[in-house]
Amino acid sequence: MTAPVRTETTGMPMRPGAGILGIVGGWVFAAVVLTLFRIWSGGLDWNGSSADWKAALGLTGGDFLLVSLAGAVLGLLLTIAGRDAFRRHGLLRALAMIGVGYAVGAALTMLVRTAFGLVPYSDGPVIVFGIVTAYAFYIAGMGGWQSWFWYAKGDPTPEHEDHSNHGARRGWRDYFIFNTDHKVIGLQYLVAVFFFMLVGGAMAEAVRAELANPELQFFADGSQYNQAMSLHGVIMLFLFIIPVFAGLANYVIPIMLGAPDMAYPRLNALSFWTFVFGGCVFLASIPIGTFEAGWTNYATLSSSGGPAEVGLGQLMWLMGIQLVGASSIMTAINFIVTIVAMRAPGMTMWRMPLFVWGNLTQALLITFGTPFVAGSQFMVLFDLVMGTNFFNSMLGGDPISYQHIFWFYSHPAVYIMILPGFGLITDVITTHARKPAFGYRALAISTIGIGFLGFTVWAHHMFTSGMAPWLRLPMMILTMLIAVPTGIKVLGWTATLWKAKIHMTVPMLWALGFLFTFTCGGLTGVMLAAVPFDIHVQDTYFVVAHFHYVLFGGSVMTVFAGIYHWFPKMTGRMFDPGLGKLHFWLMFIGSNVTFFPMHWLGTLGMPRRIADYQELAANYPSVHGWNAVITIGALMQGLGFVVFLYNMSTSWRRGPLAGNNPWRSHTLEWQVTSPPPLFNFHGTPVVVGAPYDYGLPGAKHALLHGEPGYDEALAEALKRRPAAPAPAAH
Amino acid sequence: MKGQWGKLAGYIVGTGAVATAITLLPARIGIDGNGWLPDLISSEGGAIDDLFWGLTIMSLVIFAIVCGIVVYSMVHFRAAPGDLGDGEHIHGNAKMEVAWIVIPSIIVLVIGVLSYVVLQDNEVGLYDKAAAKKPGAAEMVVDVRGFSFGWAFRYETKEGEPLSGDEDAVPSSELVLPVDKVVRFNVLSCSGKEHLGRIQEQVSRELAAGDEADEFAEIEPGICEREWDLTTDEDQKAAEEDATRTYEALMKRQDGKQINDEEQAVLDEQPRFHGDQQFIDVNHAFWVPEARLKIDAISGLRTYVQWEPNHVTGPDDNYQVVCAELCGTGHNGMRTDMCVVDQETFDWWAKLDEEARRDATCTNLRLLTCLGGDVDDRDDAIADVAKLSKEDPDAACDAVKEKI
Repeated sequence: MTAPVRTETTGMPMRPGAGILGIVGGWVFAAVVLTLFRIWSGGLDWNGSSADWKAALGLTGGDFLLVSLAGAVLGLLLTIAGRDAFRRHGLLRALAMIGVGYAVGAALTMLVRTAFGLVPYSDGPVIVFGIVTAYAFYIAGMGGWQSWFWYAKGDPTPEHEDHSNHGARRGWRDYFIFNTDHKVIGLQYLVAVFFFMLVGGAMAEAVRAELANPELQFFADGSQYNQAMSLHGVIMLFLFIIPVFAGLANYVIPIMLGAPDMAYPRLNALSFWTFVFGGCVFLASIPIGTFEAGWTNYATLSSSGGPAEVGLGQLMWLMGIQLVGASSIMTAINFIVTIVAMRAPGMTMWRMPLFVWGNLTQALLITFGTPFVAGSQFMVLFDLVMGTNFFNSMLGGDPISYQHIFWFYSHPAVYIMILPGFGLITDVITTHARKPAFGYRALAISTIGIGFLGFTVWAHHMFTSGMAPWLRLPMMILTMLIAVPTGIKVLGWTATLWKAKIHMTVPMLWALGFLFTFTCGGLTGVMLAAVPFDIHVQDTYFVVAHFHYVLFGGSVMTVFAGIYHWFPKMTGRMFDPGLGKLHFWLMFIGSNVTFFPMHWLGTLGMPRRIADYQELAANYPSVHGWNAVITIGALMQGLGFVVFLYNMSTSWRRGPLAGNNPWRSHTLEWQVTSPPPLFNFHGTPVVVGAPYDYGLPGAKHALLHGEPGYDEALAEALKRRPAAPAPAAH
Repeated sequence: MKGQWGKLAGYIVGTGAVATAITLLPARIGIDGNGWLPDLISSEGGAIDDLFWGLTIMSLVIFAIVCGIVVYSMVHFRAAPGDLGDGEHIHGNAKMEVAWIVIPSIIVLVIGVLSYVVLQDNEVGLYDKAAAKKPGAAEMVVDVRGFSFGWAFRYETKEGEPLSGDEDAVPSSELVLPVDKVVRFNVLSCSGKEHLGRIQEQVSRELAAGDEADEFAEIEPGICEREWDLTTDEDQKAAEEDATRTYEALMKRQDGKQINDEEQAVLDEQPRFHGDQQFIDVNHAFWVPEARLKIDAISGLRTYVQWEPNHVTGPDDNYQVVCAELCGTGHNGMRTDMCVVDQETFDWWAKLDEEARRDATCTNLRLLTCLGGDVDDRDDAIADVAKLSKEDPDAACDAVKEKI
């Protein structure tokens, strides 16, 4: 708050003092109201001691801190924005509604508890219902429920026609409303997930700072380390890798299909804003001591004891994952419907770009799988808050059942995290190598094959868990069989490069880098499937190395390939290729320096998730040296990420204009302007051929409205599929 | 055209050589064990190591083929500057794709079968009661209890009788094994007083916070035992009633209601750990990296693993039992020493009482091997070694031989 803030709604310049006043005022107001409420409800026995005063000011007790922070934010917003900002839907109103919603939910819960003769205040129920109502109010503040509410009442839903919430015509402000344009939502996702990646990356660097030396030196105790490690995992998986593909696909896929938007634009916006809220619930747990059971959140470490035992952070994780999971399912349903029903005339399934195939399979996996992880976390939540006994063996529960339910989602989740990347990389390679995809149909079918097999191998995460021993054989064989469709993909990519004309552009560098690192990760996957070897390295750094090679060397490499590939389309400007290459080499070398030595540490006996390895290093001195090397690699990656952020943010504003099709690609998204018009196409395009017919003179994938031959092609396409979608309104 | 394939083979070999060199780096830099794997002290580990090396070689070959082709393409199929033409219009090759399905399928099936054979050989009689008398089946049993954050071991014969002949024998906090005997480990996660109370002194050094050590003293006995003693219907019924009573009292207290003395007594009977509601311990995993085998310790469910220690640990073999499954704040410190001794020493050790075992730690037992097999009076010898290692924690074999 150093410079005066000017807001258009009031037109009144604000002084910094007023902002500080708002923060303090909001804080004190929230703290006082809650203290009074807690005294009234019997939760606090006031005797004027310093501990009481601390509690009253929100300095102790997780929920107090949260509510006081919310009060402070509310106060700040009220002060800088003036009341006018809250009269219409938008982010400011939504933020204010979070505080209101939390208070309403908490108050209702306490009233119900009072009515049943219970002590009004209890951490678990109050926080859980507080978050639920806070979410509902927040979406209301964004205006997310509005048209559904009207529709339910039987009123007209005018926004269907007026499009005022569609597109980014007013510049950056349109990115902070309940925008229904898939291109806006795609960029919203991408910016949000890279913010989350920054946080998750910072956690990784903290973890590496701790592990650079054997003793505890960076963190105070094992608990803090576990928190950082858990946050890193959760953020990278649930707030980066899964949603980043939602972002890329949101932007690209409707255009690739020749559609004006996604099938359900309002659901799309709801998914995004739900995702942001869920992510912030994760992050909000940081100041109060976050979850520490790892991203796998195994029962009974996560479910034993009351909420006070395992920390409020655990509750926040359990609520956050439900919201992020719900968002993921909504997005998936949207993609399935869009891909099935919104294809342009002539866009048969076998003419879809492979990114679309990857995304379709991923969406199916999410729809079937995500309810399982939601279920497993609900069970943990119920064990914690309601005293159920899903996982308490003393009262008849079964701790291993958690792992079965969890991995039934979380193994397919690995394919959720990489199948869109597999598709995307095919688009990048074909374009930049100027050659058709080798075995297009085999690539598409193997995607489906991987998706199907992915549901049959979950227990390979549990070879040492004490599950039924017979399960190990089928799980091992099926896991190894996944190498077959995956091998088809690798063959497709390698053979595409054969006799190609490779342009070493930045996206192509990432794609080639991906081939090396992913092959390595895939091969250690086969090694890990061999039960006797897995028993030795299960829960060691070998596993850490494997999944970082798959998820970083696999998914993240494809993500960066995709970002650089479509950056000119999204912004209309070209990135700085020199910085892009610097970013690639820092990340490629950095990631190999980081993750390759982890194999050796794992086989040598270093368990994962440990903060301190003095005794191991005493027996095997090289463990210390390799850990130090790994930390250097991690720093290189961090540096690469900074270069990336700098390149993106400066090129977005000042990069040279890129033109409509800088890569001379055949697919539909490159045939429109950069960035594309409001509804993507002026009139529905018609698809006339395969997506990657490079090297075939005169080959065309699609014709835009008005191009020569369009009418004949359209008539031909409509003969094959009469029920084509109506052309866009604009 | 012919030269092209020769060149490609060169690239594949070159890529393979580079990958192999990088993979074998730890054998050149900082030699530990044999470069990748720690020392080996189990008979079962040999096959596992062979499998590992086999898989590594297979991975290197496949990596070399795939990445050799990629490197070749990167060098030879690059577009010249300003070349805006396209590559050859090749759509696919059905024969190649079929081969690419058939060959990997065969490879993975072979790996699968080989892995299964290794697994079967390592688990004779472990899950199959009928094979319990075959060679390779367990000859003795160690009851392993993992708790937050430490280990307890109780020794039994194959039939489940305590080795020392004493039902209430104190469990050991370190793992001592006889050489050349197949040992079955019955693993459980459990916080019961009988296992923890008297060894809290040893584990307290592992704890992150000193005050937590006091809580071990409060742990009530036996709840984990009750889990698998439900042999009759009456037992089952009694346990269910007990659980219901506990649960009701607990819910009453959680809701802030007053609980009566009877309910308080029910709650007091329950083992307590960190919190009031925690009867059970979290998951751990029992692992000796040098033996190559591990299994999770789960509350309420026994899990099994077996292996045969095949050589006696010397003074430099500081092997440990490691917890491999995240179990909370003290996870990284959940380690304890293990050692393998000859049969006679083991028989002597197993009968030691609590007091005498304080000297017979793994550190001292390892030093004892310096004296050779023929020790007349182990009680005296171990006392001397203990005295020596107390004075000089880094005492080596020479010092032991010299002074004793």
